[in-house]
Formats: sequence, structure tokens, C-alpha cells
Amino acid sequence: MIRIALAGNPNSGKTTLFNILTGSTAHVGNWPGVTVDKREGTYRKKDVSAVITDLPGIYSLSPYTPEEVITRNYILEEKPDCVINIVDATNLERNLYLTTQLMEIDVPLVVALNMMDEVKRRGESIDADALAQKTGVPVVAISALKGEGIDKLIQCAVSQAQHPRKGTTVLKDGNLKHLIGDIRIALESLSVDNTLFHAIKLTELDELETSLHPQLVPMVEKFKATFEDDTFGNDFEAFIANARYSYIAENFARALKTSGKQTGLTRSDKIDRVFTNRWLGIPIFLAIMFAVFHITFSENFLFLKAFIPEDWESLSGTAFSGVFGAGAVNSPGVILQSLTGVFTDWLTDTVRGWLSTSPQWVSGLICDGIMAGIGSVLSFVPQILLLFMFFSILEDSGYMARVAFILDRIFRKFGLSGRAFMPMIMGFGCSIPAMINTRTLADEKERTATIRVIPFFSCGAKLPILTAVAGAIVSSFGVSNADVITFAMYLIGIVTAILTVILMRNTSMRGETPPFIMELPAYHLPQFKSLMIHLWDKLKHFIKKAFTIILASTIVVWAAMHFSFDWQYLTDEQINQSILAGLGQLTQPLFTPMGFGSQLGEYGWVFAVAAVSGLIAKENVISTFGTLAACLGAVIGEDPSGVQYVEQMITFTGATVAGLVAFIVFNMTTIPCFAAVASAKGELRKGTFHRTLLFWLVTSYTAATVVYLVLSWWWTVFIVAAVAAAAVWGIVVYNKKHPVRSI
Amino acid sequence: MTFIEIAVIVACVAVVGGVIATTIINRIKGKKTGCCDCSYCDNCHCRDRQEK
Amino acid sequence: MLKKLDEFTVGEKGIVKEVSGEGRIRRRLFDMGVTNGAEVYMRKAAPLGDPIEITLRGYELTLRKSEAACVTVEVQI
Repeated sequence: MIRIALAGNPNSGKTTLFNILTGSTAHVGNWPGVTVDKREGTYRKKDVSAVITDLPGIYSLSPYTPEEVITRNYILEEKPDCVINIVDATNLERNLYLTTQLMEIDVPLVVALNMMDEVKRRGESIDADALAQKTGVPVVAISALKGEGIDKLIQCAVSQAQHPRKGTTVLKDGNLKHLIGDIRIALESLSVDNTLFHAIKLTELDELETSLHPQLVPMVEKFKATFEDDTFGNDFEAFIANARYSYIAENFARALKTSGKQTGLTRSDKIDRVFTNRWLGIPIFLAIMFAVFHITFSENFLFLKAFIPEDWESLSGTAFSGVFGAGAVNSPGVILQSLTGVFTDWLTDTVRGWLSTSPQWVSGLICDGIMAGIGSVLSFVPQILLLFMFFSILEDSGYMARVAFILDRIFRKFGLSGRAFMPMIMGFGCSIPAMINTRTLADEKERTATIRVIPFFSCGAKLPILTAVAGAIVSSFGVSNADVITFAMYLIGIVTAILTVILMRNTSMRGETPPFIMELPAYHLPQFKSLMIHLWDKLKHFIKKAFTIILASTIVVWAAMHFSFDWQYLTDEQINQSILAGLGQLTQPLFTPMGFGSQLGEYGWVFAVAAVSGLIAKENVISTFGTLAACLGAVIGEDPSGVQYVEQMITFTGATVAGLVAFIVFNMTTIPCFAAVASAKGELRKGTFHRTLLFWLVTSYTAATVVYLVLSWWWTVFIVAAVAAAAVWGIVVYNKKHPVRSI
Repeated sequence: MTFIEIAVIVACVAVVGGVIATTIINRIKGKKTGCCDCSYCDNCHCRDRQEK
Repeated sequence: MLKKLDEFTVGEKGIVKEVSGEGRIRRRLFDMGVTNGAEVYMRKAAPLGDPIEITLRGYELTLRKSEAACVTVEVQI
């Protein structure tokens, strides 16, 4: 089977092509650098079968970012049978820059001119044959989005793979070629492959090459001393980069035929005029974020409450009761959530009916243990999907890249670049891909700091904790809207992230602010198909998790709750003597400063147990409440959801609003689920990982304690402020005395 | 014990055992644990996309 | 007239004459097409005044003013 690698600029459509070739459903985003690691798939059609490797998008083969190194090493060391270089035809000049470098490697190469449909739409045309003649490598015009030219591309790649190809260069300067020739001879004597590529990189004094062949550096230095170009002197790096671009400009400008007339503003420009407008940019961003949360979580949709008579109850008790909350219209997210709740409730009742003749513990385990636990998690699926859908749309359309542009100035204040925005916003979906995405950050310290704060961007699995507890606060204590509380909780997470980043960048992670040089992709409409695939994957993942790890956890929790330490079966009324209660009571004092420890009543240990079970999967927190509430013999209303379970917990334990908010804050900022911990371990350097775990514990403990203290006794604000001020003063004084060594 | 009781116990043991066993097997196989299986994961080392 | 790119006002354009700066940033600028002879057009500044967005070699590039200060441009009228 032949091996084909896909290489090209970020956002040039590699992943779309990869998905077509392999029938895979990888996520495609309109953000430069969504693919950050290589990935394989198989292409099968008629008699052709090939292994396709999708390499991360890169602008050049220089050694500065991890993705560039991954691609470079893959092509040089794994030696694929053929490389397909995907070139965004709407952006020919910059894309061909990478092509001129790939051409220098001894590997069969095919150029795929992607997005040709878009070029045509603009009334332009590109002469693929002229390009092929100039470069000496075959060029195939395709449209990955519409699936045009794909078969021809593969046929071409397969036939090219039969013939080995020698690297060619576009550099023409005689003297420089001489030096390159000399280095090649020296490299050949060391029996190195790809001498042309290595020789040119060595001439540029590329960091990777000079460390690989230090003995050849004097040769370059010696030549440098005699070389003198009119504009560049002996600066080879600038000279070579320039030579590549001038070659492209001279030769390929001819291949590109514009329609002649300079069309004024493109559609993208017009959109950008509004979205990144000097005055409107930030308000629009905030409005979009608010709208997303409002549609997903609000129980007072479009603020219609004021228009609805208070005695409106005509729909309660019908299937449409979920549409109206407490005298107001629910948002689509909440409506869907209550409908799911109605369904799981009906299912539980039906099953309870079937089991009416079996022993009490069987129906207890199945209905109160398993079904209550899983049901409380599943009822949040609609809201998670909705939130996820909005973020996908924003990302696919290209708006997220603009947000980085708008917010960079603010991020810089924290010592990060606008690029760190992407992994952080991905954290709202799931921490794991977000942590992997930090590979697009070139600066190691920025990366570590970003990975550490990613869990504070509350992920989909933490959403149920938020919504359920916030909902219970609203109904039990009669305070304002649930969506405002939810939004505020997200904000607290973000604020914690900002504060800790500033703290880290001033203490353990000091260093210069990393650069921000990035492409702004053109806007395009999100693809419906890819959006649906994306949501379907998320749904599948969630369901799979609910029926494996969460199911197993609920069984274990139920068992630990219904057996005493001497393995005696306990009825629901006796759960205070159970194993779980024992363990909970043991750890309970630890949570006292945060308001959900020893000060709570008889059943106060449930919060401790829930928080600890969250370390397995954050969904467990609410499913644990569900199981417990059902066992405590709570009278559950007509549509049981996480909210009601938490209400029961409040009744049984006497938790205060301050304690409940602190509970949310603790869960949001503490050590994430073990899956996220594992990927943090994989992404971080050795040594920083253990400190990261400690960081999460300390942060959550501190943040939750502060929230509890301030909400319980307002005057503690002054103590907190004084301590914070003292800490800031200490850090500032220390940093003045010990300035950062510049690199 | 009735049939249904035995069935429930067997099922529960199977689920819990299965989850624990898969975790251990994955660890022994050296598979990266911690796959969230999310769709963002186009670049995930833990998801086997070879055969579809 | 020579000018640093960070001193550009919206709507100005010019030809890149020199790229200086620390190795990593300079290399990145080269790779993104900011080389001698490239035509740049200042499109806009972000709402908070920084970073800036330029059109270059047919696409949009955004960079901070501190990085733009590394680029010397011959202003064209």
C-alpha cells in the first residue's frame, strides 16, 4: 500500500480533503491551525488503496513551532511515497512559498490547487499547466469542498509515487549555489539523505540543521564573510526568503489571470467592516456571547416575562408545560431540557411499574440508582449540544479568528497572545482537545500557563453542575434569573483564569509576551453537513460516556450507599450508616472553609462525596446527587431534573446560597476529570505536571473559600483585598529586584 | 433469589468490571488514556481512525 | 518616504524595504510573506488600537504594532 502525505498552509483545506479521501469525520474549522498533530486514514477506491497522512498546516519548514517540526521530520524521516501539497488557489503567492521548500526535498510531489471554484466565482482563472511547467511537478486543480478533481489527484499521486524524484530549487544566485553545492558534497560524504534541502537550511543557519551538523557551520560562516549582496549584505535568511518570493511573483503571476477590473470590497470585507469596527467590535462580541447563553439557558426568553400575566397556567400539566417556566417563556435550550426530563421521568415510572413485583432493592438500584443518575446527566444533552453548535458556527465562519484580533490587546495585558484565545474557547466544549490545541502556541511558558487555566473554562460536562445548582438556587431561595447566575459562573471561571495567568506570568512563568502574527481567513458560511457530523459525534460521545463510565460510577455509588462497612444491606432510610457516608464524613471537614463541609447538617457529607466523584467524570457530580436524592426518599415533582435533586440536597443539608456558589466554583476550578488530567500530563513537560495538579487544588480551594467568605459575610471583602494587595506588593517588589533575563 | 435479581447483579458486575477492565487493558496496551472521543479530536492520538 | 509599519495610518500603502527584529519574529514575518519588495496596505487597527490588519500578497495578515515596528516601508502615494 502506498503512503501519501498531505502538506500545506493552515486553513488551505487539507482536513476537508482528508475527510473526503478517507471518509473520516475529523473536525474542520475556519481557524488557522485546527490540525495540530498528524493523523492517518485509508483511501480505498477500485484498485487503488493508500494510507493518507494529514500533516499539520504550516507556512514554512522553519524550526520554530512544533507543527513545523512535526511536518518536516515526517517528510524527511518517514519518507512517504508521495506528498500532496495542497495550495489555496485564492491565496497563491503565500501558499507557493511552502511549495518552493517542499520541492527541495527528494520526494515525489503533486500540487493540488484547491478552492478553484472560489477562484472561478471571483471571475479569475489559474493556468494549472503553466504552473506545472514552471515548477516541474504535476499540478491538479480540485475543489475539496465540492469533491471535484479528487480521483484525478489520487491517480496522479499514485503514478508519481512510482518514480523517485530529486529535489529542485528555485534559488538562482550563482555564488550561493556554489556554496550549496559544496555543502551537499560534504553532506554526501556523511551519507545524509536529502542533501539539497539540508544544504539550503544550513545556509540559512537554521537552528535544527546547525545543531545536527555543527562541523559544517564554519563553512557557511567563511562563505558569508566574502558574500555581499546589494540589498541584503550577507544576511542569507532574508536573501533566501526574498529569492523564493520574488521567484513566485515573477513566474506565477502569469499563471493567475484576474478578471482585469479590481473588484472593490469582497463579501468578507463588508462583514469585517461591522464585526471588527472600531466602536462596534467589542460590543458585538459581547452581544453574540450573551445571545448564545440566553438562547441556551434563559428561563425568561427574550425577557417576555413582563408581557405575560402572572396567572398564566393554561399549559401546565400538558406536554407543553416545559415551554413556560415561572410565568415566562423558556428559551429553546430550557424547553428541550424539560422535554428530555419529561421523557426520562416517564421511562423511570414505566420501569418502576414493571419492577413492582420484584424485591425492593432491585427497583431501588435500577430506578433510583441507575436511571436517576443517568437521567439527570442526559437531561442536559440538549443544552450542551446547543452551546456546542453555536461555538462551532462561530468558529467555522471565521469569526473566532477576528475575536483573537479584537482581544489580543487585552490578552497581552495578561502576558498571553490573542492566539491563546482559541484553546481557551475550545475549553468550553472539552478540555482535552483544547489542551492538545495549545501546540499552536510557540512559547513554552505561554503554553503551560494556558493548559493550566483551560479547565476553568467550564466544559460541557461541568454544565450540568452549573445549571442544576443555579436552578436550585433560583427555586429554593427565590433569587434572580438562572441564566444570569449561569453566565456569572462562567465569568467567575474566566476571571479566575485571568487572575491566575497574571499571577503565573509574574511569578513562576515569567517571560516576554509571545508574538502575534496570524492570518485572518476569509469568512464563509458554515457547512451544514460538517456541523451535523460534529454535533452527532459529540452526542455519540456523550451517550457512550453516560452508559459506560457514568453508569459504572452510579452502580458503585449506589452500592457504597446501600451497604455498611460490615456488608449489611441498608434500606434507604439508613444511608447515614453506609460506606459512602462514612467516607464522606471523613473528608467532610476539609470542605468546611468553602461552606459545604462540617457546618452542614446530618447529610452534609453528600457534597464532599459529589465533589470527589467528579474527579472520575464531572457529570458524576449531578448523577451522584440524583442517586442520593432518590434514596433519601425525596418526593420528586412531575419533571425530575438535576435542579430538583439539588433542591432536595438543599432541604436535607441546609446549605446556604454562599455555600452552593462556592460548591460550583470549587468544581469548576479544581482538578478536572481524569481524562483531562491524562492529556495535561501528555502535553506538559515533566516536572510541571505535578505542580499543575497542585496548582488546580490550591486555586479551587482558594477561589471557593473567598467566594464563600465574601458571600456570607460581606465585610470579609476587606480582608481578602488586603491579603491580595499584600501579595501583589510582594510580587512587584520581588520582580523589581530580580528582573527577567532577556532571551 | 429470583431470576431478575441474579440478572441485575450479573449485569452490574459486568458493567463495572468491563469499565475497569478496558481501562486496565488500554493502559497495558500503551494506548493513551484520556480520550474524550469528542469531534474536536481530529488530531487525537488515542482515537483509532484507521478503519472506518 | 520611509516609515515603520507601526506608524502607518489606515489606508496607507507601501513597499517593504527592510525587516529587522529578533530571529524568531523576523523568520515568522518572512514566512508570512513580509519580505523586501512586498506591497503592503494598512487596512485597519483593532478596536483597542492594536494589533493592526494589513493586506499583503493577496491575503489579510494581523500583527502587533511592536512586531510591525520591525518592518521599514517605503510609503507610496
